[in-house]
Order: sequence, then C-alpha cells, then structure tokens
Amino acid sequence: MKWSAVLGITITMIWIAAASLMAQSTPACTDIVNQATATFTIGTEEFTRNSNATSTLVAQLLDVSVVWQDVASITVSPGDAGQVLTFLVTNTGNATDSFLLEGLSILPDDDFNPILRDLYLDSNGNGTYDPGADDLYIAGGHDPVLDAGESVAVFLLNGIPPDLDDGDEGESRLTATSNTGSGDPGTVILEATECDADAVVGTSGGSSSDTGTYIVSNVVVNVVKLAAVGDPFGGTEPIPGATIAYTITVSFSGSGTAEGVVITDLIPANTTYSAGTLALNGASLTDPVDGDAGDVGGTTPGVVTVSLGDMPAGSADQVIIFSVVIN
Amino acid sequence: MSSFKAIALLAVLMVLTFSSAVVAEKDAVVELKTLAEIEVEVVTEDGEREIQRIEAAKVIPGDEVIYTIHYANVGPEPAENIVITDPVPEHMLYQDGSASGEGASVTFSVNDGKTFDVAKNLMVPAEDGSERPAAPSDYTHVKWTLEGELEPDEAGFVTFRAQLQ
Repeated sequence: MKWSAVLGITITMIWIAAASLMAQSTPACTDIVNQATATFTIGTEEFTRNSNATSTLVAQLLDVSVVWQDVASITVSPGDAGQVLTFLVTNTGNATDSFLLEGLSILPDDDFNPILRDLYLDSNGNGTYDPGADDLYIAGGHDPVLDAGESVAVFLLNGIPPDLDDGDEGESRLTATSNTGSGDPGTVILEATECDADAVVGTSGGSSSDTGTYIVSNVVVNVVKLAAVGDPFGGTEPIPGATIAYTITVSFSGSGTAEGVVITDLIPANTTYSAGTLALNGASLTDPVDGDAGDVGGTTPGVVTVSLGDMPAGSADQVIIFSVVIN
Repeated sequence: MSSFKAIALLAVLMVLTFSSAVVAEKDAVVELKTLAEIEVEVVTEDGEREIQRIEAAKVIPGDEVIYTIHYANVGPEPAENIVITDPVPEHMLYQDGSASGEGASVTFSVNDGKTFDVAKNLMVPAEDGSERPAAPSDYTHVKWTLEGELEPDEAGFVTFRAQLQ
C-alpha cells in the first residue's frame, strides 16, 4: 500500500517537471550533440559505422515580457495618495538575467498624468501589494534577478491629481529591460554567458513595456432650491406674514459614491422657521436632533441640516422641504 | 620446450595482426560525416541578399539547424543495404517534411529508435491513455534506407532540419 502511494507521487512530479520543460526554451550553454550511424553489408557481412559527433552550443536569448495584471482600470478618486497598478515581469529568455525597471506616468493620449511615486517588488510573492512587506525598488540597487521562465509581480504606485472629472483616464507604464543587453533583435553580446557563449537579443528587443490605466470615479452632486411664496390673502406677494415654502432637490450623477452627504441651508434673515414643516422625500422629520435624518437649529443654530449618508451615483433624487414665515 | 613456446607466441601474434587488419578495412568501407549548419542571410558585394549556410557553432532557441550526413564508399567493394540513422537531438524538434536523400526512403521513430515506420503509420500515446497520430515534433529518430549498391568512390548525403526549443 505504502509503495503504491509513493510511486504515484513520484510519477506525478516527473510529469509536472516534463511539462514545464516542454514549455521552456532550451537553457543557455546546453551542448546539442548529434551523431549518425550507418549499417551496411559487404557481401554477406554486416557492418556498423558511426559519424563524427557535431556539437552546437546554445547561446543566451535575452527576452522579457511585462503584462499589466489588473482585470480592469483601477477606480480612483481625485487627490488619492497612492493607487496601485500591478504588472507581471517574466524572464522569457533561456538563462538567469537581471532586469532594470522603470515607471513612466507622463504619457500621451490620456486625460491626466498620474503622479509617479514608487515601484515595489512583490517580495512575499502573493501577487498583491502589501505596504511594509513588499520591498521598495531602487533602480540598479536590487534589480530583480529572474531565472529563465521566472516571474515577479511589480507594483507601480501613483498619486492622483485633484480636480479631475468623472471618467477621466490616466495611464502609467512599466518597462523592464535586460541588464545583459537590449536593442534590435539579433544584436549579439559576445561571450556574455558563464560558458562564454554569446547572448543574443530576442524578439522582445530585451525590453518590454505595458501600460495600466486609472479611471476617475467622481460622483456629481447637484442641488436645486426652489421657493414658493404664499401670502395671507391667497396671493404670492412676499409680505410680512407670507410663507415661503422651499424645495431642495439633490441629485447624483457620474459614477462612484458620494460619502456622508449632508445638506445644510441657512434660514434666511427676517424669516422664522415654521415648526414641523421639515420633510425628506415626503416623510416628516422632527425638528430636534434625534434619530431621524434632519434637524432645525440643533446641529447648527439657524440652519436646517439633513444628513443623506452615502449616496451612489444614479440614486433617486432626494427632496427636502421646509417653510419659513416672513417677519 | 622453448621452441614450442616461440611457435605458440608467433601464432598469437599472427592472429592479432590479421584480425586488426580486417577490422580496420571493414570500418573504412563506408564513411559518414555529419554537418550541423544554420542558414544566415548575407549581403554580397553586388548588394544582393543571399542565404548562406554556416556551421551551427552557436544557436538560440527558435533557430533551425540543418543536419546533413555525407556518406562515401572509400573501400574497394560495393556496399549494400545501407541504412543511416540519426537521432533528433534533445531539445530539438524535427521539422515537418525536412528529411530527404537521393534514392533513400525515409522512416521515423517515435520510441527512441526501437521501431521505425512511415509518418502516416506512427502513433503515440495521447493524454487520455488512447493513441493519436504522431506529430513531427514527436519524432525521436530519422532513418534513411538507401536503394541499391554504393559503388567504390560513390558518395551522397541525406539531410533533415530541426528547430531548437
């Protein structure tokens, strides 16, 4: 029983190793040997003869790929301090190499320039930026060293400028370049490998870039206030004793969520609030500060205050009404 | 007693001399020389682009290597039933349709040279345990079977191409 279990594990491991070898390019410094054999007969006698063995050394191929990993644009708000874009840097060459990393956030064809702050390496290998745990990247200081086929996640941190419109897009780019050599594909760096074989710049040019995108989510809160006057004689003249009914309509457009929305309105001079007239969306709110959303003069003397809370873009309009009497 | 020893020693020497001469002669009858080459584009003095073959001393993944096996009968007698076998080197993939040789029929092995057959008859195990037709990348060996005799001083070559993974 024990034996069969051990055997099963061994076979699985070999299969995985073979599969990963299949996908990878031949390691640099491998010697490819070939020798042919001939059999023939002279009369009735059989003979076997070998050829010389050819020897071909595998040079180092310098290739790298950078791929932005986030599935969609990163949603940001104007003024955000540090927003993360995640990239995967893979050594697609056939030997261990180190790579210079470079971030660039001033790019054409976008709506705003993110403010490039820092690059971080995914030191704990979980693919997610962990402040404090992942190492700050210092160009040339500790360029990531990757074996053939090995990858590392790189985090690009950008600040988001203030005063942006909803839907604005900003791009930021990561470039990784082989420290062994880069340039036109086919460029040869003589005797660059440990076995003194040459290194050859591959189809990537020994350098690769990809661009990630931030999108601004900026909810627009629109407030419209209407006043309707009714005098004691059935008219609409703003005379002492006349009532002014205010209707404040608050709407939310754009995208994202307006958090902790509070509407305040100063009771005009020379008017007196009509007790018990405050209502939100047709439901009365008591005048004192209590469990409901609104109060008159309690939070701030002489001011109507209504707390709407978190309001996502596209929420139904919020309608606040109250009345005052002209002194 | 001593004369008997001397005769015996002479007999042994004669046998040794005779057999080594035979081995040398037999080995030298058909000679093989293998070349590994790659094709490079060069610009000639006339400014024209030309494909040249150079020795495949150094290659990178993706390069195609041309293996050419030259054979020649350097002995005094005709050789018959000449069969040349060449393994597709490790890390390399046989390139479809690349094996050829004048007057040679080509077969392939997908089991490390144990058996050979024409391409359309070759099967390999599939992942689900059944069998599937072999792909050129499954070939492990190439075999050329030459027709007729190779006369003394007659020579030729067989060839195939393989790509470095």
